[in-house]
Amino acid sequence: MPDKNQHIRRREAARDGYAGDLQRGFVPPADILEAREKLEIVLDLPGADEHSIHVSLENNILTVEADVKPESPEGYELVHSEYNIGNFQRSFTVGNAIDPNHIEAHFSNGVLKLTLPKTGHSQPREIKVATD
Amino acid sequence: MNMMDYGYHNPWADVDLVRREMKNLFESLYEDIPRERRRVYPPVNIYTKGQSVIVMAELPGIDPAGIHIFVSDDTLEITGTRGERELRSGEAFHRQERRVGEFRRAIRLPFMVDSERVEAKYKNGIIRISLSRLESAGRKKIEIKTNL
Repeated sequence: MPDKNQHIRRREAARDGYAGDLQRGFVPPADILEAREKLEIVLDLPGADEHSIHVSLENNILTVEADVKPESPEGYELVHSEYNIGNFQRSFTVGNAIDPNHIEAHFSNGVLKLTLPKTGHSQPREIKVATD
Repeated sequence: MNMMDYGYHNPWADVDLVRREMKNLFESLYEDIPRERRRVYPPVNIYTKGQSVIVMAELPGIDPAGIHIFVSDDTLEITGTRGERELRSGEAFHRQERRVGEFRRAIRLPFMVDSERVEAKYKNGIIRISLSRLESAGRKKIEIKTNL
């Protein structure tokens, strides 16, 4: 028997940024900034800690995963809830212009900042115009 | 907290009464604004145990010194600013989903708060504010005298 409420739950999941069965966690909001020599990706991962964050790059797909343990105050009862607690996951497609060996990650106050340097080839070069 | 303390009415239903009313009023005007931006900020979870309340709020990426917490009577107020990354020459945003700017959130609790016993901790982008009910505002058992 089809679950009548499935579509409602899907919609609620989408509203909350939760990808449900499709992915393994909430989709965190991200800023992507491009400079001449690098890309910067900044993600909000509240509740995660630096040890629970995994960043990987495979086939031009950069994936960020963070495990978040539900941390309810002991003995307390939840009476009002506006955010859900759970793992985060988000993937980005990055071009060949990124140097995979020099990606840096820095986590502070619940925010992950990834710096992806571009390879030498994609940095702007000034082409000299030759004359006879 | 036991529901019986307040009779049949759930006091936590009023925490965001104003927000809901405003939301109904303005929702239709702002349908095209991404949800992340029009949502009340910061989102909070509220926990209770006896006469104690813990309010937790997601505030990632803010220097704790820039978060201000005020308590008066039965209201907890959280204010601050979430700074924006300034663009240097040659830089451009491809995507900007993270919320920036000033925020202010007032939360009405179903009792008077003891302002001397408020504690706030910030860790990994989540602030945890512990509050207690003001003793004198609590329920007091009145003895009935007999044999007058």
